Amino acid sequence: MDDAGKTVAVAPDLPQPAGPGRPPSTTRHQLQDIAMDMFSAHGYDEVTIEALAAAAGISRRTFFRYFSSKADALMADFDTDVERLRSVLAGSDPDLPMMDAIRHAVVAVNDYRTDDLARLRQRMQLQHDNPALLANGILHYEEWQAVVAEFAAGRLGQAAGDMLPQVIARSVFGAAYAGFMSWLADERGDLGPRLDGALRAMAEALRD
Amino acid sequence: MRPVPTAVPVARAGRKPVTSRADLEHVAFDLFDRQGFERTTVDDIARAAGIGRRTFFRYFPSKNDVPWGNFDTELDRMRLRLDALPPQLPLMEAIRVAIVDFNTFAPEQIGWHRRRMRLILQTPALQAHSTLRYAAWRQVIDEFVGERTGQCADALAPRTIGYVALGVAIAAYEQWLETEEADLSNLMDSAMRQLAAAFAW
Repeated sequence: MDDAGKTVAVAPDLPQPAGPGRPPSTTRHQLQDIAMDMFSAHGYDEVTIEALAAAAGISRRTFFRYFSSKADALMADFDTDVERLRSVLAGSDPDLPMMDAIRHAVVAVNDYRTDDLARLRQRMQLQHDNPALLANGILHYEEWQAVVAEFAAGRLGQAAGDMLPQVIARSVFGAAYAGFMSWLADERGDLGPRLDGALRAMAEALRD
Repeated sequence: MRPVPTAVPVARAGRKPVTSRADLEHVAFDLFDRQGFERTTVDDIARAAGIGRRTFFRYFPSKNDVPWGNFDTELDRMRLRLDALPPQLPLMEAIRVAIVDFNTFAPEQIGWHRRRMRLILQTPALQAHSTLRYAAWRQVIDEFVGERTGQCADALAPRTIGYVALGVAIAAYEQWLETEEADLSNLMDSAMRQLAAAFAW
């Protein structure tokens, strides 16, 4: 069966990838939401890529134009955040101290709307319940840290693989993750101030 | 011509079975190196060590726990070390001292420790399990910071310091694994000091 024909017949409102090149991110986002709901309902291991593709009204081959694996379908929003973090850091005020610039960028990128926050919570739960999803999430976290390391390396005039950029990347990620987990634990307030608070707590501890 | 050896050396009759956790760990590390972590079973390890499966489980609750050795005992030591530090020592100094101490090994152990950390940090199949062990390590830091600052251990600041300390330690380990001749204690110490210096940039 023709991929496009099938898609139109099953899910007419799902935007089609426009030829070669990067697929539109809204569709990645929609596929992620479908995957998330199916993983939550049936368990990650029980959901096949075929079933996922069918639910989205696309072919298996089209699925692989968006994601390289079933587990990656969960990380679409996170991947978008990584790219946003890269561009916010690149545009940060060069007069701002390095660690302040990083803190501002991390908070700016994590400006989730309420419905996205529910999705974030759902993703954390899925990762918590499934080792394969957790392991894959950790690989994506490496990308986030690489972006911070590259920015710090640029500011310091060092290579991204050098000790200090790596220490900064891992500690900033640690602080941000602590902010996420703290926010997830009590379900109160906004995420942004919690991330800001965690990164400030790190700064204060090191200043004393 | 001699027969091709099988991947798993079978304990010969009369072979002395291993009698310590460290020896069992070393037998397992050799198997992991030869045939890969994922393809090595508990039965493979037990057979190579000349012990039964049941005996293996007296030393380790699972294959995933083998690279972690006696981590829980080490954590108890770190907790005692932190508690024994003078209260006037600044918080992050105290954590630095404890972390450097936690990661200081006798020369004869350092080779095994390198193999241990390579397994832990570079085996994809171990990553999910490792998060549990990392959480136990962070808990020791969180509790210390909570106590020092008069907060709950799971309040934002203690929790943040726990994650930050772990991040710094992992960064130091990655540098160490890349450079054969580097000194682990010095790297740990330097990583913690450099993070403080980062705030001057």
